Amino acid sequence: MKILKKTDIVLLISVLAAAAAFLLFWRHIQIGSENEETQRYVVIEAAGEEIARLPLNENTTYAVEREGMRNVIVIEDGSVYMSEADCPNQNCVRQGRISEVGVPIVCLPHQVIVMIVAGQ
Amino acid sequence: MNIRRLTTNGLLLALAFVFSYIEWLLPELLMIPGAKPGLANIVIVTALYCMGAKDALLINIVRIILAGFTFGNMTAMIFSLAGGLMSLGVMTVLKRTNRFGIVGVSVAGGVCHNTGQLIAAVAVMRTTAVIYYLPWLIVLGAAAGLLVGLVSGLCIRALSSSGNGAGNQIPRI
Repeated sequence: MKILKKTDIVLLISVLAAAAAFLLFWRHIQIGSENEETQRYVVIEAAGEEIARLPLNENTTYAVEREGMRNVIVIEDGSVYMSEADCPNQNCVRQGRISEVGVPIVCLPHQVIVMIVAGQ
Repeated sequence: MNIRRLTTNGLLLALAFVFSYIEWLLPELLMIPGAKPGLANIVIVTALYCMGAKDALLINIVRIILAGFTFGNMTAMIFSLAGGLMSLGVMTVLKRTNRFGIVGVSVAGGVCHNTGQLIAAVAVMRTTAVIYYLPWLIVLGAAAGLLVGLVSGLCIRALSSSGNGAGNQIPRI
């Protein structure tokens, strides 16, 4: 039984390289689909369905309320965050602000996703 | 299942369950929302090497169900199962090839655990938006796997060298 082999290090490096490649690839796609003047929107999805699409440059507060579950989404100064949620783990609230297209804010227990998209 | 295997599996299960509980108490260990080191997987990797894939699978499934009903919830259980099954499947295959050490097997397990959870998330949320997390999940999974692999390796080494065949150690690898 060996704890560490050379192949392990090769595996570790290739896994990290794959992650970096994914990241660069997605950055590339985003930059490709977006130019300076494109309007950005905040898309809110619940259980796989889009329930709201709000412009990112207008300050608003939007509450998602369904089946007794509540999430409050705040759009403020070109960024968006989850200000309040009655989910058990609060990961969505702790995730903080996002202002770029890419990684969305996810509230897994409530199946709510907040993401930024570049509009048409 | 003989008595020794039964008791050893029971002990390992108890240990894995305690690790799950500790991890549940300290959810923000890494300061990243939702990121966990997967302490219980130290037991699962050790079980995979000392008891075999079948017992490791059994311990892991029972642990997930126990943890889910005791302090988790249904969603957490589905995610744990998806991650756990995918991770253990890949680890079993890689271990059989005999090309990797414990650390390599465990790193692959960590990455697959997170990938499995992401697949479950895509299925549960019915959206592909969460795929953006993939690169970060791979990095975190690899880091957790590295840690788990090193600790498991040291545990297995200590277990297999302690005792003089008096029947008080878990079977040799």
